Amino acid sequence: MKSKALLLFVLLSIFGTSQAHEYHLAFIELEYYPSEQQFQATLKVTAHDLAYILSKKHGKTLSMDHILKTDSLRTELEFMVCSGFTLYQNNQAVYFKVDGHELDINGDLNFYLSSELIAEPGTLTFAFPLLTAYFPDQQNKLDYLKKGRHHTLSYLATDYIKEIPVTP
Amino acid sequence: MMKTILCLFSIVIASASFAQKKFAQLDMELPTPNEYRNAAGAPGHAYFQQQADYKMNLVLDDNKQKLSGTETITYTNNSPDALPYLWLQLDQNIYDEHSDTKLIEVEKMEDFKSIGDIQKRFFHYDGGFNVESISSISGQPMSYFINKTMLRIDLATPLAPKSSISFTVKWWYNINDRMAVGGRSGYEYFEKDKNYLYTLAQFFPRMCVYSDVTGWQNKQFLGRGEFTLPFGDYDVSITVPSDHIIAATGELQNGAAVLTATQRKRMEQAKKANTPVLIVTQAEAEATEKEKKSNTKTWRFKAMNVRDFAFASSRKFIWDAQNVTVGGKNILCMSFYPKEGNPLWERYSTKLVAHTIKTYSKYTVDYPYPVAISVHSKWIGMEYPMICFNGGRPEEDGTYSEGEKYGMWGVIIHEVGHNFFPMIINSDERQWTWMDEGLNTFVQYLTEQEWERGYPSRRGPAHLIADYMRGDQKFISPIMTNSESIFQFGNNAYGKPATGLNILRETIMGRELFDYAFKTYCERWKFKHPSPADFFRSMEDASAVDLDWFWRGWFYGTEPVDIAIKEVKWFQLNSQNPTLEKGFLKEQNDNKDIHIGVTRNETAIKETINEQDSLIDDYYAKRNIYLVDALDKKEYEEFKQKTSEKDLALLNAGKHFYEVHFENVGGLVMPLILRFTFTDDSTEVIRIPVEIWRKYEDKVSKVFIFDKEVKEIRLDPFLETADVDLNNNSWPTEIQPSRYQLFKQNPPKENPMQRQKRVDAIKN
Repeated sequence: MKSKALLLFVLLSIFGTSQAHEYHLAFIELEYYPSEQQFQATLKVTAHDLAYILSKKHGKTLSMDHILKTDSLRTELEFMVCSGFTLYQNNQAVYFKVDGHELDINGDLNFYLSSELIAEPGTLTFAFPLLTAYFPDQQNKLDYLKKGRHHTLSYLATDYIKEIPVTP
Repeated sequence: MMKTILCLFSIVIASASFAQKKFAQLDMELPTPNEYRNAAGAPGHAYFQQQADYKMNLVLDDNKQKLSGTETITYTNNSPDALPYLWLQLDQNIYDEHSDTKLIEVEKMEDFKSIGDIQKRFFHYDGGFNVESISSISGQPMSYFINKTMLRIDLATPLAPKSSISFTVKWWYNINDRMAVGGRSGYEYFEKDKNYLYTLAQFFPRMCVYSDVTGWQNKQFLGRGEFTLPFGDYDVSITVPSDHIIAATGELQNGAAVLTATQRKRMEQAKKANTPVLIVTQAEAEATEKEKKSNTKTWRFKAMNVRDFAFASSRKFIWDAQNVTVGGKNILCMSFYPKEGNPLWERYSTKLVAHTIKTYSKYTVDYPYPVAISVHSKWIGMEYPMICFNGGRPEEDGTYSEGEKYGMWGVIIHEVGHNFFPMIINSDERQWTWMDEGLNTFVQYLTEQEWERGYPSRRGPAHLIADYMRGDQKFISPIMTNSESIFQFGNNAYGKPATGLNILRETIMGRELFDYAFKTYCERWKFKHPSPADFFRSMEDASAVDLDWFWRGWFYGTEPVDIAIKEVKWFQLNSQNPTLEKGFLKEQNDNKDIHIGVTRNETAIKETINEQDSLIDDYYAKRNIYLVDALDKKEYEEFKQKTSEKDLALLNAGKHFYEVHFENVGGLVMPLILRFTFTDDSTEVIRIPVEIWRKYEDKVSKVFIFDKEVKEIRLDPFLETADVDLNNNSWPTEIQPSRYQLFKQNPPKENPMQRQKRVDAIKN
């Protein structure tokens, strides 16, 4: 069956082949807190990758500092980041909000996120296609923490949704 | 915590595992040593390499953004083999409209969700080489065949060993707009002043390497695995608009013809200066930008014993230079940048070049070339002999973030550092990215740390690679993977090898042994073509440290480090002295927890039967088991008679024994680095070599003996081993707070510059 692609009229970049110093790795640490009845997460992305995409999109060099202190750009950035992952519990998408962000001096941009209230989470599935549309070799990792133990899942552009094999 | 009295003087602890895979030697993986490359990792007595000398005349058409060239290559066959054909690289054919590079990109409909994506797909740029002719030195056409990015010249008679052939190639191509097409080479157009800045490389047909390892290294260029090139001498003339300034591999031969008297005078000052001197000022460059002269000048450069040639040309260039001395030799460090690079570039670029040349020379080999150049090139970082193209552009208002500054510093150090790997220590980039990028990133880390104390290096320290190494192993490639097939190129080929070398230096070998072995490898293979085995063997040969387990685990494998403290048992020796031992037992009994029923019954039951009836309690009920009786004393006296004073002193020394069990959860073995904290808050660090795992790869245990009681044990307390799970590294268990928890404890409210603004507001 022929599908119609929804075309978002966003001018995106044309990338070359020679970004010899790319990072293209995003990492999210996710944990459920029964006392607060919510998931809390830290999403770490390379600021260089994000700034590169937004610079290309806007046709001018944008530093991450400038993006973060410009409301419209920061909103655009947060939208891009938040639409790059989805947590499903019992097949229902869980809403996350950005509680804060922090730009490390070594170039990592951390987003601090918390979910809507969820009393008793069920089966969890996590989709993590963040930046795979921009960087074909983007690799993302989920580090699900439970009782101090790490459960790590890896995501690629072609393999971006997985069930978390641990109950919250 | 309870301690157990230890009655044995020695205990034997063993694990159930008897596999020895992790410590097996690499005999099956490494090529058999031979006369070309010996078992010590050095060039063998019959080592050979080819030579390719170039004489080129280039014309840059600034109106059409077109580069034309005529090159005469003299190729010398130093191999023992007769060569019926020669292979040349046509890297620019990656931009041919039929290039494989576009065809092999994996795609799905989600990749076309924007107009930009679709435009990208239909974007037409035919940038491949147009080879007009190949002829012998006498002008006779030569037979050739182009296979995508490779060109084969069929020789009328095979090129015999120890003989040379010269031939001329005539070509041209349309230079790519780097901002639209991307690429390591190309141009950037500046709309405001309508000028171009060219950074040009891979722009001419280049000889492939013919070696004892690969024969002809003619793997197609797909865009990622970079270049493998023979050494040679270059004599290059470049014709450009007369107001252009050129930076190029090599030394300028005709300064009198292309530079003004003022520029030449400033250059002479720069050659003696230890801080940058401007050859072309910003004001002069801005004036030149507006003139746009149409006549031409020809600049001539010569470079000896280099593996490639690149250049940059623009009328926008500001130019500064300074001297640095290495091994008694003067090296002219230079930077070329447009005004858009300032204020960062005039302040830092040339100083970074000088620092990099000096620091790398200390850890590898003395920089052998006369010049080292950094050219400003938006977004990218790319390296060539003596010259590199580097990003780091401030915002239009001249401000820049701290991240931008560190990004610029890092890329300049990295790209200048590439002069050593692979330009001098000339590894096969097409096959092994890590051999240049990994080694270079490692020395970059050392150089950054010598530039600024506490420099926030992104790659190098072990703990920074842990996120990458954790998780599903099928999406992690071994470092020993061909350059085109690597998952996570940056972490795999840059970060992980650099981290591995850092672990060797800081933890496994120690700085002195490592630095000696690393320098030995560099000295052995400068101006030669090393392979991975040569590196692995040299590092062991020069240090007397068997590192096969490390190469196997870190370079050939993907397993992460995750070593856990599984169990800790505490023992003390039984002194046999009844006064002490019974006293100890009584103290334990007095301090033990009491069941709630017993406590309540103290008052709830007013009197038990045996309390009412004195005939109920017999010997057992009445005896005091903690009382030291005459027999105890007699037996102790007899024990003392039979035991030496030395043994008695040991028994009475109050030693604490800790039997610590470790589990190898991640798979990759590492030394055990342990910090013991005692009840008096003093600490002791014990380092156990990796060979503790040599027989038992999954579980091991060790007994530690102290005079003091331990209250905490921490494994890998200095973050040396890239352990991916620190939650199982302590006793008693200590869970590391999540990143979100740390954020909640101290959320950042403003960046440092915002805070400074508030400070300034108070002052005003």
